Amino acid sequence: MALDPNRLTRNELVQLLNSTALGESLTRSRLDRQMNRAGRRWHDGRHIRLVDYLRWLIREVDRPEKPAIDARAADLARKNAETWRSQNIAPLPDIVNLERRERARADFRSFCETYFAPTLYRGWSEDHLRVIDKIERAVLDGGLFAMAMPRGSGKTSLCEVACLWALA
Amino acid sequence: MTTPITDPFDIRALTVAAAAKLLKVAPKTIRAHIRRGLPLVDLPDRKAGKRIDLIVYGAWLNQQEQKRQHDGA
Repeated sequence: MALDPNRLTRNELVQLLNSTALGESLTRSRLDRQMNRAGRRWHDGRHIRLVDYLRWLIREVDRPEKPAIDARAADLARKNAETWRSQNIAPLPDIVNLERRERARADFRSFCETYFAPTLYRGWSEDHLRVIDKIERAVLDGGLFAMAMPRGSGKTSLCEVACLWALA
Repeated sequence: MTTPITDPFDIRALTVAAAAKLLKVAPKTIRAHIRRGLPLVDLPDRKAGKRIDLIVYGAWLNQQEQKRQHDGA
């Protein structure tokens, strides 16, 4: 029985394409994937139109390649380098006042008053001074403590400045 | 989108021009595929030149697509 190239079943197409001197070129599962990818451009779900199928294949084969893995890796490396450059603050400026810096390094209260006066502008209460002392001991000698203070009294600001002092 | 297959096309022995017309692609596309290794059919009549077999073309295109996906993976 002669085959109708405009109305090939999946099995017929697979058998036809695998019957050439090139050997096996198409499997049923591969054809199913192609049919899913192509929508209904060259088939109606059951039958395949050979010429339309070949035209689609030609476009697939000649479609420009996606960027290779190497190109993507190079792009990632470039972005990482840009990020590193934007995050790097070197070179550090010269020390303006060595004595002031050493004093602030050794004393948390002095650090707050010297470098964060605009943030911690309200002046110290007795509670603040106790907390400052506790923070200082925790940073220098280690330890844990809990602090409870009224809202708006500077708990978060003090903790943030304490982290910077601990790193300095 | 159905492309009718009618005489005088013999899909197993097409010239480049006839294949291009049937497939609605540029002849240079088919010539590029021939340069890349698409096997052609030898006709008994040597004057007729080499021809394109659409079944072989389909098999070859599938192998190229497979190779391309394998290289890109």
